Amino acid sequence: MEGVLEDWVVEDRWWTARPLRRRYFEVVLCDGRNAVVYRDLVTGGWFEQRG
Amino acid sequence: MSSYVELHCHSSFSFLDGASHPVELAGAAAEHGYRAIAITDHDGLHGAMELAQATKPLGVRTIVGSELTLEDGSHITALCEDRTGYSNLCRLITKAHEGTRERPTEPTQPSVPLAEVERQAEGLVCLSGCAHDGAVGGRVDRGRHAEAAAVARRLVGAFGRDRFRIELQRPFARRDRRRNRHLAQLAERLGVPCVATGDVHAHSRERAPLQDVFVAVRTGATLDESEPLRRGNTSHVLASPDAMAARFADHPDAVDESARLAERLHFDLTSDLGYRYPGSEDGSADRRLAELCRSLLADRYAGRGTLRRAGRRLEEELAIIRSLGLAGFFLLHRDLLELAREVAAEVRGPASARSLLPPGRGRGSSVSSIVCYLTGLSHIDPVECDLFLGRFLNEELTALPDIDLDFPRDIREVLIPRVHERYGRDKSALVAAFATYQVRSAIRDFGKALGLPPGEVERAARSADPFGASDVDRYLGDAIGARRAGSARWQALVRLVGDAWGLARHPMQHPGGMVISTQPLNEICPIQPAAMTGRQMVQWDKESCADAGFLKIDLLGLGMLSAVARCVDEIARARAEWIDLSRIDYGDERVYSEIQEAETMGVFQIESRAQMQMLKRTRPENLDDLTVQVALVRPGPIQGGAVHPYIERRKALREDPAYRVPYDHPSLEPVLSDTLGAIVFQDQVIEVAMAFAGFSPGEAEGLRRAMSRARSEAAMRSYEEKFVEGAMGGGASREVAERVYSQIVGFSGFGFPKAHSAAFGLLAYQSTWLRVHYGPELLCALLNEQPMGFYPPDSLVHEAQRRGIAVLPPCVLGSAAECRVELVMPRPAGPASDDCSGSTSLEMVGGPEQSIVGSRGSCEYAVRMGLGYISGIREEEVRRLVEEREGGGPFRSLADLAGRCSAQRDSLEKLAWAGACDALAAGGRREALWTLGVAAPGVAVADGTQLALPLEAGEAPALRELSRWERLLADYGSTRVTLREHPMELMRPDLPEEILSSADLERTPSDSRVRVAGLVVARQRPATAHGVTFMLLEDEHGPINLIVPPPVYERCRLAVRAEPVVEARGKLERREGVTNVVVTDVRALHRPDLPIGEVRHIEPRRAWSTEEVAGDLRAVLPAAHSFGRRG
Repeated sequence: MEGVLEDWVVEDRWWTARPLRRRYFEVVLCDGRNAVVYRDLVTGGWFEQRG
Repeated sequence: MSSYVELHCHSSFSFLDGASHPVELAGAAAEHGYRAIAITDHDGLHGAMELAQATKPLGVRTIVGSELTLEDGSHITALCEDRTGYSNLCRLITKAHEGTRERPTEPTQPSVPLAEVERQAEGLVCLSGCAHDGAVGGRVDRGRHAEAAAVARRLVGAFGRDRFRIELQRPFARRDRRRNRHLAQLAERLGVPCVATGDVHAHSRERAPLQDVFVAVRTGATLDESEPLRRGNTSHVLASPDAMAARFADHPDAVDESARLAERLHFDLTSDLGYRYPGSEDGSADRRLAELCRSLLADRYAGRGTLRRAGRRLEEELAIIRSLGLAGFFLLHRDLLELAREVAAEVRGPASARSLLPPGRGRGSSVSSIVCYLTGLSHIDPVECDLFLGRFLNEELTALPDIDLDFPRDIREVLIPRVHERYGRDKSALVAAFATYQVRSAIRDFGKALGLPPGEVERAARSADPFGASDVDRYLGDAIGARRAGSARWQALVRLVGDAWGLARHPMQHPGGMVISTQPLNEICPIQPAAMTGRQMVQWDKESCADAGFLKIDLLGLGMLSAVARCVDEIARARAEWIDLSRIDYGDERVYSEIQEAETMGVFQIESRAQMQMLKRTRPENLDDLTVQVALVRPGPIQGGAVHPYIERRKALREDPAYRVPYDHPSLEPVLSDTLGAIVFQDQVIEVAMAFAGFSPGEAEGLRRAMSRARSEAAMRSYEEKFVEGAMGGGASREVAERVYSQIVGFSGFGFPKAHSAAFGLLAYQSTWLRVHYGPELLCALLNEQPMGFYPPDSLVHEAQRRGIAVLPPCVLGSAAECRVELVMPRPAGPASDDCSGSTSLEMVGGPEQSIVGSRGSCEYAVRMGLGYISGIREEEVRRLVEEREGGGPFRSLADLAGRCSAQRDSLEKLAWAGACDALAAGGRREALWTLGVAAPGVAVADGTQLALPLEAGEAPALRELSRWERLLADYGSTRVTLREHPMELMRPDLPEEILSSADLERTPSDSRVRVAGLVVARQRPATAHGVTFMLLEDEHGPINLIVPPPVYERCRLAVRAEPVVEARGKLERREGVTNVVVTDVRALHRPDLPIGEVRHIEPRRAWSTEEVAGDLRAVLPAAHSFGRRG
């Protein structure tokens, strides 16, 4: 990863049985591609956002 | 620790865009170690004084500001550097609100032109606005860089490089870094620094969901739908300075700049306002007031034995007023009362019987002042009544005293705009009040935002206790079942309701508080239009106004004063008798006999269930007794343990006039002898502290204030030590000193001053006197002045009927718009007739001197219900109908009525259903309805009614008469009053014999197990009753008192709280003529065969209920009055 372009937080759906808390990063990868990844702050897992 | 200061913070006074109260923000700021914090609510300073007062003792400085909305909808943040800046901010906010209430029911959003901001920039520091909607940041966010730069340049031009900053925010949204990079570059090009802000909307993470739901409520959407508009995370919660420094690691200078800027923003709202009231600097005020009072004293006390005492008292008061510099304050009030006198003469007219009444009267502690008495601000002689001044005025007073004035509603309505005219619209305004979230409104608003089923939300709202948010979980369980209530969404609702409880939802005007100033008010506090046309209010409520040291005058509307005035007018109209209430017999035995028997329904103050029960035991015999009586049923005397000793000692004195009242200490006898050794009045707290514990007047007043606010335990402890030591110094034992102190603490200030009680006691007597001697007129006045008092009109009417007062139904041939008294031929005993025949409406065509036509010896006075009582008919239609009848003669037929009165067809149908057309329809209401349905109505045109063709409707087919049930429901559905059978009379035959009536109860021995049933008239759950609920039922013979202990309430809550007709089981208790049923069970009383289909069809549901399924009895029964516990 070359660097972080943006980072943001989504905390939503707290009123449901499956609340959502994620920290997103828009990163520039070593091969020059941009990617959006997030860490699920509830489960601790890392995911790549597609689409 | 970082030096960061939060310069952009919204409180709940941003109204649905801020989730924390200023006090909560103050606490959180102190906890995080902030040295200062700004408050920047949208287009307002509503919460600024609250925050300033809350932060001061915590060592945190409040920076005053506001997020202003510009005309294009974008925002800038304005912060006050000095007093000039504060004045400019107030003017800008006032400007922003101008014209927002042009359509009172549809307020528009405030906004101010940028050019206006440029003109009023002095003394203000401008930040460029928030990330999303900011005048600069918002444009950059949307990629409109040139526009952003242009706006920024205009702002630099207006404020200078010294007082304009580019605002950087980090709400953890996707484009934060890019936006802040662009903004920093723009700042560099402009040569101004950046400043970091947090755009705070909540004081803690737990409160963040409430901010989300506020957005949904504000936009009328659900949480799911409002996702793009919500903040999306919890970054808007107040974070610590270090956390903010970390958040802006890329922009450390912007963090430092917040601290540098804060140092410059030194305007302090708690000390720098510089408010003055008119007359405060008048050097001649002392002399003028003294001259005025001395000349009035000579007149008022001429030839009276109290002249010398009154003179001494006046000089003492004048000396205190001089030392406090308050002469101008009293002269201003006198001036205001003179204005009220002019207004009263105008409103009442010169020939009115009401012209004998004063324009208004004082209430509260000011009634104890002889200066107020002489200048007309009070109508109670403080010398005669031996009223204590110290509560109102003493040398150690630090704030302006309160003078509250009560006016009849009609006079008050005219007086308020007249005050604006007299003192200038720029120098007078009403005080604001804030509608706060209560349990039910919160359940409704948030339930919708959460997307919960509307039916269940409504059921949950109605099952909730209206006050206090602690048991919402249980209410939901009761309403929709524990399993469903346990789901995530419903549990979210529970948390949200608890969080929102007590937070402001929107501003509104205070009932009567006005602020008057020497300098323009819009330089001291922003002014905004009130919902009522022509009225305007400052943005502060009465607490903030008091903190600001504003002179606040309460011009209160008192329903009973209006009713008494109406009653006097009606007596003059109907009987040509002019009553001067100041000269009636104040020792009338008939009046006291009625009071002692608790025959007081409809009179002032002593009509409530609790008062009635007390009256039978205290048996007042004169005005002094009534003064105590009025004050007795208050939380202070009840909690202070004063009630039972007072009642017992009165009883002992009645039985043995030689009985000696016991006092805890001889020093208490002079101050408590009026109340037989009990502390009943608020001023007795002060007098006891002075006489018993040696307090100075100021110390005693301080103790009273500390108790009434119950804010500081430490302060109370210090008072206790001083009190006990002082009392012991005066010879009392520690035990006695502590006992007296505990009585004072129990009182806690929630009681009336004696002066206030004397004023209210007098009105209680006057209204009872009218009830005894002019029953029909008083009933008529009460019906016309609704809503007021403890009982709904239906109960007032039933009780009057039981006393033999005839009440006639509305009638198109005889009724005016309002209820009127008529002279009628006596009728055989029985229910009221549904027609107008046999009655003579008395119109005083030749003025009050003309005698009444008709023989009073063979006639009686009756109350005719007004056509305006029929719900759903427009006021204008009623007015035209009455005018047409009076101008064009009586209506000859239903077709004639329809053709001449220009009422819409649905209004005619409502008249028919209410029975108002029965005199024109031999076949009753169904026939009237049929005929009106086919008659051609006239059409209202600009200058009258375009008559319909005079076509007589054909003969109506034979229609079944309404059954008694149908008629009762039609009555309730149309007027909310039934004049014939009581619902319980109709239900009685189907009830088991064991269910006793109120008349049966009087013949049943005490301690019997009983079953009773009735219409619920009132429910009370006073805070002083430890969870006990009192219900007042009514059946066809009279009232039934129920006492519902807490376990029964818990078990039968829905029936107690919501059912209009109930059956109760319990034990009969009778003591000293007072009968209660202590219940073990309460349940709804159903009548499954209610035939109300027709009523529902004709009347729109909203005419009588917005809440229930219309197929239910409760859809038409009048709602019981609920008097609940707050907190």
